[in-house]
Amino acid sequence: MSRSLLPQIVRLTPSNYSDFLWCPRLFYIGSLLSVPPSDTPFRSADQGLLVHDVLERVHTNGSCRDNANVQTALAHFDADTPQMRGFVERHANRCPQEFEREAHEVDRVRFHREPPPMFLATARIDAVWIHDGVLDVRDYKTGAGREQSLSEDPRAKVQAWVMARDALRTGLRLQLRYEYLQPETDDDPEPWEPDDDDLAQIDDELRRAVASMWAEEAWRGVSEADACGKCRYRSICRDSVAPAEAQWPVLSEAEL
Amino acid sequence: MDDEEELPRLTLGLLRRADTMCPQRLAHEHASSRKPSRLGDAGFEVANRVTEDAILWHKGAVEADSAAIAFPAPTDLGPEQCAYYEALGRGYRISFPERDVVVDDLGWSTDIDDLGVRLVGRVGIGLRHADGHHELRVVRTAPQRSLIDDVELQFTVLRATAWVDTFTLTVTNLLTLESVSYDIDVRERLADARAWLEERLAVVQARADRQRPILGADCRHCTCIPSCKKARASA
Repeated sequence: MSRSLLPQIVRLTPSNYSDFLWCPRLFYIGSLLSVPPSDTPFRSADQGLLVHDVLERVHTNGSCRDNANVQTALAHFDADTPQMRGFVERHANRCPQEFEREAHEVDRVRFHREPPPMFLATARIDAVWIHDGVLDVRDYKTGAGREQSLSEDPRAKVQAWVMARDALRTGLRLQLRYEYLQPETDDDPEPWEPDDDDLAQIDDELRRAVASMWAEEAWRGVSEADACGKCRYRSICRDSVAPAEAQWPVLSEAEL
Repeated sequence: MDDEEELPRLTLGLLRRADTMCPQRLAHEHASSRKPSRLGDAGFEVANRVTEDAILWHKGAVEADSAAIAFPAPTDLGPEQCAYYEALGRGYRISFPERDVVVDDLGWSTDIDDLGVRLVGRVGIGLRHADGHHELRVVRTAPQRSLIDDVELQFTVLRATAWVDTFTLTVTNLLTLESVSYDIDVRERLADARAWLEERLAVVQARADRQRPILGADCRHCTCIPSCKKARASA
């Protein structure tokens, strides 16, 4: 089964690697079969995208601490709401004041060739700041926070592995930071500066994960109440132990 | 048709993303439909099947009670794909209960001879209704930020040129049941669509370059990775 489903060169992203470690069947349904989530409201993804679009525009045109600039960006996306202004304000409190260079919404790629199996990791980076000898990589989060440090977060591991090459090339110290922009999340996790040993370990972890993807036949789910209860496919997954009704709007409409 | 005989291809994706695409990938996909390495294609399985089965349903309606053959439960898909398929089939039946239509085949491509290019890609299900009016029915099978954009409208007009002069374009998301429709007068829109195509083709031709790969978001779905110098250098 794997041989026909996996691409010849497996693509890893921060979220699909996290999915695979959380539950192989989650990875299988979402990343290999591309089935849209059956148990999350569609609009929740839109809000996250909008926040990213607004912050990118704010920084492209000026500063996130310039009210007029923020107002213009919010108006551009027809998004001038108290909630959206709150997201921008919470970001502005964390945004570096002085920096040498910046980039926003950049896609970075790194290929692993040997030892096998090959894979390609890609990551869309929300913001990169260069200041004080640091390659300061930021990821904006609009969902609920996770209770784990970045060094243990699979998403952060992929981001760090991808960006490590840029840090090496530029002679900068790599730092990763997640900005949780929801008011419900009090604190961001501590910024993480992975060292060479961390990165070598991540390299090994990613390679082993891809090898186990190739070895998969059944793509069995974890079938644990905690994991299944939070899963975006809990209502349709073969191995779900958290029964639910799929939330696809079409299912709540009566047929004629 | 041999690879050498193919006209340079223009898909909706190439036309839409030509300004930012990796020049190497752009050059490859413009010149050829060949895939140097395999990508997992299971993601299109259900979406393609729903469209095919909708066509079959309408074709069957001419001769029999098609309710019995509309979107039959798949026996060769996994349970999650079956649930997805059933939801989409339900969405189709709710959105388009009328069976008395005739299916027209718009094919997979349209050659634009004077420009020497081939527009490639399905644009929807072409239908003739009992009252004689034509409809091009586009179904979406996953949530999208918008149902259709200007790029796809222009592409659709160009692909429908040889079909009819006027039709209703209906775009429906089968999961959310969101829908929009447009009355399309091909003759009225054709000059604009042609000018747009020439402009986009110029961008494709100017940027396509097999010797200039750029790493980025395109790599996620690129079949050229095994031979890409830039990707190999990133290892």
